[in-house]
Amino acid sequence: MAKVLMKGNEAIGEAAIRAGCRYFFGYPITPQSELPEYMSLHLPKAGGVFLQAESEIAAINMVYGASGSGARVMTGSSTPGIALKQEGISYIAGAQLPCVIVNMMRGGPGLGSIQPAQSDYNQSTRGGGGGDYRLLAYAPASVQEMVDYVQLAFDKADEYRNPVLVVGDGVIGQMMEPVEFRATAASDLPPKDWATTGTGGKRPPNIINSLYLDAEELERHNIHLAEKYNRIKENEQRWESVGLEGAELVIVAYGTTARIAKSAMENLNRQGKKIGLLRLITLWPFPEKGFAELDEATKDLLVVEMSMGQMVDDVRIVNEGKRGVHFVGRSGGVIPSTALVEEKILEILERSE
Amino acid sequence: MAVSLAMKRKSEGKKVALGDLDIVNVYFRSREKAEVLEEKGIHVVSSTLGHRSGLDLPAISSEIRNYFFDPDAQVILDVGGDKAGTNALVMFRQDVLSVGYEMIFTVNAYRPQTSDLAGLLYHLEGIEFVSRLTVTGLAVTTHQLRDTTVSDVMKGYDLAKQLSEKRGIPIRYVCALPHVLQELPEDLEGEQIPIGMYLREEWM
Repeated sequence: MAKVLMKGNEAIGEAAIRAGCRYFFGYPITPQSELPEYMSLHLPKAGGVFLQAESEIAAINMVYGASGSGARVMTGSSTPGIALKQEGISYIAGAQLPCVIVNMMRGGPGLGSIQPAQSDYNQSTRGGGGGDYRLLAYAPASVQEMVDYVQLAFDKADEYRNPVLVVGDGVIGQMMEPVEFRATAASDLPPKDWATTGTGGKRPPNIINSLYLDAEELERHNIHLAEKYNRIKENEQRWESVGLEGAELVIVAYGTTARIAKSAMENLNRQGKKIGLLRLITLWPFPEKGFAELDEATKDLLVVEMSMGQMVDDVRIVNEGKRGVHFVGRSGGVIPSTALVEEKILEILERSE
Repeated sequence: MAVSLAMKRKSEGKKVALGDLDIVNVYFRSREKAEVLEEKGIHVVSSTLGHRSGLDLPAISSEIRNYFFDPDAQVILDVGGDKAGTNALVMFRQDVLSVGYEMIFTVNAYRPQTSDLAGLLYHLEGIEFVSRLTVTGLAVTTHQLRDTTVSDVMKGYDLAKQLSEKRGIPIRYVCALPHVLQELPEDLEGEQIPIGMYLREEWM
């Protein structure tokens, strides 16, 4: 199919519909409102249902219900709206239900701003709901990747019976880029024999629930979930590495800032520097395996984020004190410039010499 | 296109004012480049509360009206996207009618909703219905960002030609990156506007 020009938010909607999503429950919020808008126009045409809920909390609980009945379902929001959904996400994870949640991050904390940010890293990787749960979290860096990972997210959600988060920021949501909708490979997914689709008098009722009256039974459930999360950690780490071989310094970034970092890297490499880039595609699981590819020559890691440095902790954990870990970023809705990243890199290189 | 058209008119020595009427969406608006435009001598009018990008408010400064009645000024109104965006134009309708206007409808054949004649007509008619003004010209703005080729522009041109014939509206502008414009056939209808991609940072 020929490429079309779409905004990130529109492309997510189209990708979801093509992935078989037939239900969208949401509440509008800048900078992701084009997603519910797209769904409201196109889902009914695909035989689906778009419903604007009275709140984000209502929307995520509608997702809980639709997912429990075996449907492919999605919700989307931005930073403060995703914060509101946390309790429901914990319930969905606890009940082991698949769904896809999109967060087009904006400046925070609180109501924050409507400009792009990445300050929901902690929220995305640690979660805000109660209990021992994890979300597989993809962080695409272009509109095309958004399309590809939204489609994959539905499969992974079904495969692991777990909510999958797709995070972007306002820029990716609003930016128009050429995209291609590729036919998705037929995936070998397990039947949804747990869904509440009616017994037909042939089996005992399926019950969707996250409440356990027996502590030891809940502990067994948590052990089962932990095993699942370990499987996700083992199998689902994704990253892109560019120019790691011989790199003096490697930038660690994801999404929009990875693109800014890449431009900075290319500018400096043209001047004879040796800079590499490790771009996270999954925020959780954190791509530890990618860091194993780092070259002996690499003395410093520079985390670039549109936050006050939320990802730095995870980079320090995986780094185990081997290299210098630095940070540069902007927050509150300000986009860092390539010049800012270049200046910071030069400052680090000068200090190391 | 609005920013690039303003730049071209300024380079021709005209007095130019750009009114950014996009109140639908705060991202990628002409006002983001107000500083660059003002440096070139192009006056930018947007919200009564300034050009700040975080203002998600339907507030448009009527200062732009000053320029409507200045016979030396070329006023460009950048109206957001579709018929919803066109609502913001209605407040200036009487002025626009009294000073005379050109209303340009952009044709981007790679946008799914305007990729065929039916889609274009739907949007064109929606914009005319809301504004109660008449589209007087078409602009070919079909592109693939930095990868735009002559055949991309021609795809848009051919589609615009169909719309032009259907509605009897001339193609007034063909917009593309400067190096693509140079390679276009010479006999195309409409003035060529070099696109500066002012709103795209180097990494976009």
